[in-house]
Amino acid sequence: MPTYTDAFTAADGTTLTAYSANWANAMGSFAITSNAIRTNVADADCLAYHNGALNNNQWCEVRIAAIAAGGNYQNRGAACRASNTGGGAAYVFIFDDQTSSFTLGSFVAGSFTELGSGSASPAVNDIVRVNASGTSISGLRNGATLAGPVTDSSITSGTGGVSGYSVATVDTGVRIDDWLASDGIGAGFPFRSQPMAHMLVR
Amino acid sequence: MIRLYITPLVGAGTFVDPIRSKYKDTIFTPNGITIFTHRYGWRMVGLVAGDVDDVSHALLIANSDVYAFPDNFQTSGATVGAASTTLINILESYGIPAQWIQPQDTYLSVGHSVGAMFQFTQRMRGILGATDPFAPPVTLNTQFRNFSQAVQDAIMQVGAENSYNMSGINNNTTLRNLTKYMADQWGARPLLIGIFTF
Repeated sequence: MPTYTDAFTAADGTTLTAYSANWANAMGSFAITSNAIRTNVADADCLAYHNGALNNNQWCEVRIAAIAAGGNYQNRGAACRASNTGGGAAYVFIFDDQTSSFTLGSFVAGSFTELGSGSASPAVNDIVRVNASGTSISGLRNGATLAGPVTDSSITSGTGGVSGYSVATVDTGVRIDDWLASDGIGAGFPFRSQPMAHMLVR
Repeated sequence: MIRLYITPLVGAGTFVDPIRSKYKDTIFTPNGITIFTHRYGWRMVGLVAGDVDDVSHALLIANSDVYAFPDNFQTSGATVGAASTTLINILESYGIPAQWIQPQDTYLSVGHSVGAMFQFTQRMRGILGATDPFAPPVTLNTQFRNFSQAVQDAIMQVGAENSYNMSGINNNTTLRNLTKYMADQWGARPLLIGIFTF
């Protein structure tokens, strides 16, 4: 049951791929601010994936580190079964700081389709998680299912990742941190039952 | 009431302009309705489910490009009956094979088969990427032999991934029959669409 984590500890402005060779961009790019990550390009969808191999039944989560409710249109979130296939593929669960909502969706060949959404206002320290188990895809907030499950067969494999969008090139106000991906889907896997430091394998 | 629709999809496929139900921004979201969507592969049409109030439902079905499954179709056992022609016509208008639908079929069985067709085309898109191999000039009557090797391989890959019995597919199999065959192979596995299973 591989588990991978990342706390994104680096100087402000360091790009995600410069920070760690474990990361690759499928779409757009990310950079670090205040030891958390944000998107690093303007008006473009961003998707990055980690090189840690996972079984196809997998999940990925991030902690909301900073948010600017009602601010410029920005979203961030977790990605699973992520890859650069066809220009970007993943299931993602993202929060939107402007509309105060969560969206479950898929990137296939770089094109984003909404699978569902959840009615909840994102808050700092919320844990945003996307699960993919077989063809069952769901989004969770703080351990509770908020969107889904939805059956979707588009993407069968990939790794954990992050996704996001910003209107502005360097819009540092919305950030995610404490990334975690695992293929330990199932009732028996504790939801962040251990402090991050105990699970750090990066 | 929990309801299931077939609606057109709109959007450029970005976070700002996602592919979503044509009526999400005008009916669903303004009325506080959360929806879940299955997309038909590359096509801009989806199965859309939500807990939809009667007023919003009336607004939706006033649009000729929306099809609403009957209330409680998932539990009522209601058959398609004389409405089969309407259902066939709207599905075929979106390029979804539907001539197999019979009046004695239940809405649940039809919905499940249609949803399973969506799963087949979704996986095809996941394998093949952006370009729709089933777009015109391809029709539902195009035969397997007429698809490129890559498309044929993708079809067989879907079968292999799901441990399907692919013996029913041969060079003469039409896209129409192929799609239904793959849906039949999906079998009774449940289809989840957020707020209910069918």
